[in-house]
Amino acid sequence: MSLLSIHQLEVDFQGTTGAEPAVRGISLSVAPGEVLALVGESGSGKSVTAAAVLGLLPPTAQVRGQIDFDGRALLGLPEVALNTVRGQGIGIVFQNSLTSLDPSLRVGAQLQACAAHRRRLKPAEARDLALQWLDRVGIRDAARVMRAYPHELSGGMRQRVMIAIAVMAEPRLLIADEPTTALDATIQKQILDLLLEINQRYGTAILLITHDFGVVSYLSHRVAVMRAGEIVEQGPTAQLLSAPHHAYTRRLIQAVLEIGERSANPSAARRLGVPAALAVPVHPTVATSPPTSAAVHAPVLLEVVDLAKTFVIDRNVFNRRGRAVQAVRGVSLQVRRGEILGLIGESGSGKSTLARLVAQLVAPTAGSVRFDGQDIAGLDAEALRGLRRRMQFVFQDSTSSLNPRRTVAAQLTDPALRLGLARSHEEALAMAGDTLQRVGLQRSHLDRYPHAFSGGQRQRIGIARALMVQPEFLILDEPTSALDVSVQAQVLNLLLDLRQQLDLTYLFIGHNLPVIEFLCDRVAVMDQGAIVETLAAADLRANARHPVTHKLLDSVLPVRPAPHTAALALPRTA
Amino acid sequence: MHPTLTAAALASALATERADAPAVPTPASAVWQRLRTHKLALASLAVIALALLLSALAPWIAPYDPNAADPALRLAPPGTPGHLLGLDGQGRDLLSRLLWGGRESLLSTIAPVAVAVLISLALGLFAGYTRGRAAALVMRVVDILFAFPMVLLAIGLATALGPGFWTIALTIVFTATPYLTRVVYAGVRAERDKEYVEAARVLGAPTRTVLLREILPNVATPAIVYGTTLVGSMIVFLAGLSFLGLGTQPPTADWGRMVSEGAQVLVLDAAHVATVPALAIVAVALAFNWLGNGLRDILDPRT
Repeated sequence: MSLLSIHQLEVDFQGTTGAEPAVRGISLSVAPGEVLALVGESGSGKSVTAAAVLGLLPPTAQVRGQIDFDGRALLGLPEVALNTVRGQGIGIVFQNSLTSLDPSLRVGAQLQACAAHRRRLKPAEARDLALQWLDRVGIRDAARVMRAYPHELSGGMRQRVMIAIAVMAEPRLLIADEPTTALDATIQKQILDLLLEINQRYGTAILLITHDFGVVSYLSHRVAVMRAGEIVEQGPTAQLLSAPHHAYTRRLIQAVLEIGERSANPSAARRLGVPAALAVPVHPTVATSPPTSAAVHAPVLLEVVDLAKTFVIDRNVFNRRGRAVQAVRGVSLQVRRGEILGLIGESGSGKSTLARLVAQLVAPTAGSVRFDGQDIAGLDAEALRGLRRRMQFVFQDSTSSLNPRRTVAAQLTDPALRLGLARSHEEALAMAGDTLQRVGLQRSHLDRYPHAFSGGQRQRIGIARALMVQPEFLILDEPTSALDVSVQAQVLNLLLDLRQQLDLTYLFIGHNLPVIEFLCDRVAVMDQGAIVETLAAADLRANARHPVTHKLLDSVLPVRPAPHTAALALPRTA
Repeated sequence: MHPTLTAAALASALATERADAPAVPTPASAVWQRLRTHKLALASLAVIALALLLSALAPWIAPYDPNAADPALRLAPPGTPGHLLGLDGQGRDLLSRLLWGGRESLLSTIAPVAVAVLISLALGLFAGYTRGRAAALVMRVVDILFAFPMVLLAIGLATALGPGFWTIALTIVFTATPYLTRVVYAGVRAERDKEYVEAARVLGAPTRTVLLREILPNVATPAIVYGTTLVGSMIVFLAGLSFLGLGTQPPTADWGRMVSEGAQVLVLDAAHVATVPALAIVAVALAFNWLGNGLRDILDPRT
């Protein structure tokens, strides 16, 4: 008998324009001890499904269908009864551990409250239980963590605390909603291992909600693929990943990059989702433009020498010296014309600071940046404007990188007029329309505000804004990390197209190694503010030498090869 | 040509992605359209416009001289023939006094608050965006103004300038500016580090452009909304100043002064003398509050 069974679940949100269906008649079940992955792109209804199980939907939602947990119907259950189910039957781990933990309570107090909520415990007993569970989720200095506030812990530690809170009531089902999305790859693997251990040691079933097929492959026994509120396909994980039946699942899995794919398709005409034999250059005249190898002989466009940046933090009236943090220390690198240089490293390794130093958004503490042979550190305002035309930046967060209060037209035409690329407003507007079309949007989008676009479209607008001034060199700071895989594939292909059409050079910052390998010509690896290794991107595994690079490569979760053996093992019968 | 994911192919793919996204017209007409559908804000605006219009036309439409007394009809209730809203303790026509008083109450609060909004936008943008000593100095002065008793300031100003419009106006400017500056300052601090500001700088925008074209549109709305709601409380504050003899001088009356005069005759079974101006204050103050709330939605392109 299944632990959780959902039958013909439908959820509508009552909006101003009538009922918006979010989930349209899905059925699925989770057996005791099973890990079921619910996978889909943003807006597919996977989180709404989880919220429906927990009875956490807002009042505007209308829920129909049947949800049974442990033989008990959950829909229509009064709040009090639902609370015991939520507390003891089903545990939940959310994506953002910083907002899911109470920021003004010590971690210990939150754990103890949960312990005491379950059954009457003396404070000392609750404390012991909390310590015990912190230890079980792999927190070594549990006593110190108990005294800490959530913001004092790292993201990985906070997620462990979240998991401890969720499992300390020993629930039979754990719902994990994107539990590792906000984490670094190396930390992600640790957290997934912890979930795996909980699943195997305590026989806790897990309903895992994710958009990441690597996570699906690593952790789940079965997988259900959601799209637009419907389940298009479900089946055993290994089987579904290696031989998907539904066209949508196939497209989705095809869009996922894996390490080693680049060596199968190394040409400059490579495009995601297009087999090498079929890849036809977009622009026949530049089809002959040499791929990777010839970039070695191209002139150096950007040269960074011994660049360093020290930030002073915590400086105030009482502490005039503050505390120095070396974000970038003695970095030297070269980018040749027409090349794509990738920059990788864990979060906090100084990648973004380096990008901002190169773009002259942050003044360096030491060292020089030479662009096309010219030192750009000491440029006056006029010369700097000239540089701005040639070097542009695409930002990570497509939401905050566009001004929410200005139309797309205003945001695209302003720079063109300012930097003298258009003489009149009409000319700038025509350019903006052309540029939007170049990135796959339409002229009619000019009059809209950023909120009217999806994340992928906003990222295209960000790229269009950079292209408006016809630059030669683009710095891209994790431009695809917040995007769904299919949208990411489109953006990566767009970047490759644009490089050929416009003879662009990229400095591409990322943390997704398969993406880096696919897109880049060379890769620089950063660790603690320094570049530890620079290697050819075409085959990262073969070229990697430095332990940091190996560590990054090891944390990449494979999607298609034989999944983790542990995950394949049959669930313990409960 | 093979079906590579070219820009053209993407365009058609994307056309389906969000084909339903509504076209947004130009800002000014968009604001007007949203205002038209926002019933509460529209009604509030109508009340305010009516109050302003009637007050402005007071010299022409007021049935009597606001200071002319008819002792025979002292405290006559509303509905007395020829006196729609009745008469006050000295036998003056309440409707006429209300119309004339509106000129004082509305003009001497709306104008200074508007000035305060402009000053705070300038101060907040400067202090929030630059991180230097001058910025710190501005905010410390704001802190001092917060702690300064405004009645004391009004007394000082009245001594220097004499009681009247300028004393009232300056007092209100000094009272409202610290609150508004804090709002703008906090907004600028939040916006300053967002990536669109960096994007503008990368695209060669000088500081002036970043402040006025990028950040200002994002911080102006809260200041305007807060300023609008402040007008209501400033009408009441003005009443307090007049009560202390620092505001409008007798026999001229603003609404607040009319209420305090009415309070003196409340015991004589003449509640209308205080109630009529009090209702006017409540109506206008509420209208400003609701208009402020409505503006928050109306000025936001996301709603």
